[in-house]
Amino acid sequence: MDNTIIQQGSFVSSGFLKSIILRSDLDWMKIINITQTAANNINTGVEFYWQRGFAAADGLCYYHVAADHTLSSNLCSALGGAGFALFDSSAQIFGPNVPITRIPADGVVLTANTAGLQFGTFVRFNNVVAGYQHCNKMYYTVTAINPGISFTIVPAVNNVDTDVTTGNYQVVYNLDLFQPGNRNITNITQAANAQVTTSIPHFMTVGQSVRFHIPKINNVSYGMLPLDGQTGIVLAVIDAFNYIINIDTTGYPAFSFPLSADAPFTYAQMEPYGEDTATALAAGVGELGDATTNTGSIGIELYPGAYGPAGQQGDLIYWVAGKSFNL
Amino acid sequence: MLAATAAAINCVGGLNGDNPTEITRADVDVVVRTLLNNNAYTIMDNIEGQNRFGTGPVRDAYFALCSTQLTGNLDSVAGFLHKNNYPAPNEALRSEWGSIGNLRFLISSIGSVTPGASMLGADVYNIFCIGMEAYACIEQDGYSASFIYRPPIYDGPLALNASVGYKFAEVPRITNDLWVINLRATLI
Repeated sequence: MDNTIIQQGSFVSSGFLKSIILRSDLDWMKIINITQTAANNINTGVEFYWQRGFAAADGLCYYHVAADHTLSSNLCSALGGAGFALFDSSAQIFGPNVPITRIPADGVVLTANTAGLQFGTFVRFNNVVAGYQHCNKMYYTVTAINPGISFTIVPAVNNVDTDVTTGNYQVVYNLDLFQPGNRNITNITQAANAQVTTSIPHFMTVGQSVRFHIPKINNVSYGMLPLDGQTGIVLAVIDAFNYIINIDTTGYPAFSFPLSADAPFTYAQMEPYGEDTATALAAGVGELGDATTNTGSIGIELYPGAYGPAGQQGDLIYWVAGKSFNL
Repeated sequence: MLAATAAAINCVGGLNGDNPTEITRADVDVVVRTLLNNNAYTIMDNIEGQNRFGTGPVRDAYFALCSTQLTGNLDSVAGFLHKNNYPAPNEALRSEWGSIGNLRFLISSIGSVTPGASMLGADVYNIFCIGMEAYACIEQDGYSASFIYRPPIYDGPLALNASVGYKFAEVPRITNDLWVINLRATLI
């Protein structure tokens, strides 16, 4: 049939949500978990099927009903798992609001619902009150999950007035469409070569040029006002959240993150705008790090778990997906 | 592209209790002052005042690109001049809503919105305030937009199906990051 597209592939499960980018889009998908098919594990999915029209995050699951190769079938949702979900990253879809009960200063967020979180997930908070209004809507990165009890974020929330709070968190499924993008700054050191800390991974490379926007909120926050509007070059990348610039901030007032009572205000930002190619080449780094890239994609997300198509860590999984001639 | 990479200023002059707040004259003044300090050229020339009832002169202005959802809030801002109050309304652009200070607001139903992004979980509207030549779209030589129609004869021996599609390649780019600011606002 014309206009029918079939694609296939395989991956080894990490035990987390698996996104498969399919620019052609898809109308159906079949998954075979080779590892679990060969094994004799009871209550474990071995084959999955989804097609357009199924309920969101669901799918058909064939699973071992006993510790042999006896098969049974049911919906992923009925087995307590989750199946398939189409995604379009350009929509920058956020997850639902999930209540939290507390954010201690060490960055451990207490919540009874940690579904959908994994290492590296971005989250944001809203309607957070009682001393935390300064962290509302800034993005944080999840580094640890205690299922059903809490998760840990970095950076730890600055300037916590009190550790008793209520509010919501939301999963941020996709960052803005074009990267490298601007980032909120959580700290800048006073040093001959200042170190900049961002709230989520900055994706900077050595040689990239950045401009700083340090708003004046009051006589204290953000403090380091001489840096406002200045441009710097990334000299070294410390880690995903920190990098070194060629600006001497030793004589500047200390960077001071706002307090909850300072809201509403504008976050301090860094904005990538170009590249110092000499610095990049001297460091042996590609000189096109400043290239603005459209990161938009469409495809399908596979949920992990015993009854999920993304399987469990180490499972070898094959997939075939198709675009139908007619729906 | 602008929403992802341009510097942002939150509206803080409003009274809706959110962060950002609704747009106010003070927020417009901050943006205009910032663009002026950054030596951005205005895009539109001034419209000279005339002896006509209900009209007022319009300053030379930067463009502010925003969503149609903001129209009611714009009407409420101190100093707002609707385009039908321009001395020469025919000099207003088709998509223009009016002006505040040195900003002329162009509205679109597909204006940029970041859902649920305010402190209280409200939608945040991105108002891109731009000076002359702040950004550009670079088209690829010989690869501008193509709309491709294939009649059924190309489908197969029975010529059952036609197909249509489009393709294009372009690169949006901020040419000077000092001349574009994303003013973020919620609604009243």
